[in-house]
Amino acid sequence: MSRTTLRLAALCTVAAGAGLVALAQAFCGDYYLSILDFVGIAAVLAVSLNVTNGFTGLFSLGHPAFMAIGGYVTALLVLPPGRKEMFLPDLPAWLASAEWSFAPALAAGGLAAVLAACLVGLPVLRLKGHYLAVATMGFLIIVQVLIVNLDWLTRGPLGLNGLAPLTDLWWVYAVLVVTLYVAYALKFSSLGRAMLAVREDELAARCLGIPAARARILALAVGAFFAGVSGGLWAHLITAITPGSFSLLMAFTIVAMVVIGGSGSVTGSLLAAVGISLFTEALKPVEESLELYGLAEIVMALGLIVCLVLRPRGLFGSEEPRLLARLFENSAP
Amino acid sequence: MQNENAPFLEVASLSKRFGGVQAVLDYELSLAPGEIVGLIGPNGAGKTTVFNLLSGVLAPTSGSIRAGGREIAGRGPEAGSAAGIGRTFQNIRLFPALSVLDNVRAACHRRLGRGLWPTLFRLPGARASEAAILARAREMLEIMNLSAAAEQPAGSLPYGDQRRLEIARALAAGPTLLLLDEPAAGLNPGETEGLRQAIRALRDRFGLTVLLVEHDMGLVMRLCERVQVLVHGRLLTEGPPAAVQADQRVVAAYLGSGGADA
Ligand SMILES: Nc1ncnc2c1ncn2[C@@H]1O[C@H](COP(=O)(O)OP(=O)(O)OP(=O)(O)O)[C@@H](O)[C@H]1O
Ligand SMILES: [Mg+2]
Repeated sequence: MSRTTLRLAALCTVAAGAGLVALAQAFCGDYYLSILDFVGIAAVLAVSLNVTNGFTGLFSLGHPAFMAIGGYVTALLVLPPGRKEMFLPDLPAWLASAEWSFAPALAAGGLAAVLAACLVGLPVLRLKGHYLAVATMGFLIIVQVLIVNLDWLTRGPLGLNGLAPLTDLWWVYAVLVVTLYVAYALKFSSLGRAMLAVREDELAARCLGIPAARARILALAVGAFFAGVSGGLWAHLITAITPGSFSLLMAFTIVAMVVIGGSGSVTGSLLAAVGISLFTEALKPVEESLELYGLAEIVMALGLIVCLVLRPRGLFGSEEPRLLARLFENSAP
Repeated sequence: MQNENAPFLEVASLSKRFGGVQAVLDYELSLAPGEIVGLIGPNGAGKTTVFNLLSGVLAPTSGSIRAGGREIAGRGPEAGSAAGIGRTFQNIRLFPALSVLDNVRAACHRRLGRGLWPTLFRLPGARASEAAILARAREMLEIMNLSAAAEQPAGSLPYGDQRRLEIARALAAGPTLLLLDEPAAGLNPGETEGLRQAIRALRDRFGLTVLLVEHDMGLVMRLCERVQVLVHGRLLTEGPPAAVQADQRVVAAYLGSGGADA
């Protein structure tokens, strides 16, 4: 297949996806639509965490913290001044009067998460392995505590409710397509290979002049951007945001998706996120009828353990389908 | 530009101490462009430590390292690489999950790679640089006779191929000086001879300067123009291979009466 044909095929795939979104929007009930929304957001989260954890081997549990930051920033920018006056009377004037539309607010949420990633990355990225995991977990807890205590900005433990239900499947799909594009374009580039080299052997990479610290910060920032945008989508899907929305359990769920799919494989993360979140949703009625809440989490934890024992590199390792490599690598044979 | 015969590397009174162990003491070295120099010595003499100091992996306790006119001692591996020093590792350190080709392409990133925005927006500059990287990587694989294995994961290669891949990868970064830490370890005589020819060819073709740590004395004698002997972290002697080989003190050091007189 020539590259032009491949490109055409890629465009057709994206368009076909859009067609399915249109069909779903027209014919699916709210319940099924919301499931599709959650599945799409899970895919964005897993793919973006894969850029951080999978490409540079930076084991971060901080993804929900970036979601929280993005979610609150988006909500604060979108919320009509009237409601802000009621919820948050002490806001500075410029923020109190802000009433942004959804797209720029989502982008601002993503950028706020990037800013946080740069701030937290500089000190934390010196750490390795378990220490890094613990430090990013600490970051998640700090963000949660800050949200609880900055009442004037966040309304503390009450959170913000009654947000406009702006997130629909179109938004989720668009963000997912952009996330996938960025992840693949990065992976099949010199910069992406430099990131993978840092993951594989940091010292050897540095001896080749690859700036390991910069590669890690960049991977953390790219992951954080999409986590921040997901936070905004999430908040305006369930129309509420509280400090507890973005928990360690959520970090675990996303990490499990990345590990099971294959850390380093964008395709693996995508498929694992879709599979696992569909499975979790399917189990919900079972959980309710059996009154066995948390069943899905237990099954997922078991799945993670089985995967780590039988296939420690995940389902896909660091691999991608060959067609994608040919699509993205300008100069591939 | 410097004059042609000015040394590329000048190392003066370089020392490294690990707690109570004086691994290297007052090491000196001057390398002219295109020289192939051997660094030999018994196990634990401090050869790998010298490499770690020269490549910036370790910071010296004292002393200076000037490469291409720049002081790089203790500035980290990135500074070593930027100054034109490349290296391989005694215990091979490839990027095992990446393909052979991608191992080498990753090494081209510092010189030819692009940043985030050109990459994401696939600007013409980024396309051109990807093409240049691919061409360079293929050339390095060709030189080290690894083209057939390009798509295999590096970790799956036989041992001898892994050693050659490490050299191809180091070359791709475009060094002026290549530090080879026991490149013939684990190779059979045929592979060792191939390696010798490859190193010679690299010097002749690219004017590469080579510092070689090696226990295979046959290889050292046939390849190097000058040999340094390190014993207990100190330079015992330095000179043409034949003279060094005939030196009784060197023989004694290798026999294990170990440089007591050094
Ligand atoms: N990172 C380190 N920390 C502590 N001691 C070290 C370290 N690296 C090397 N040493 C010590 O320094 C001395 C020199 O070691 P080095 O590895 O440089 O020897 P070598 O000449 O390369 O030996 P070989 O021929 O076995 O590779 C040894 O006593 C070693 O134990
Ligand atoms: Mg050694």
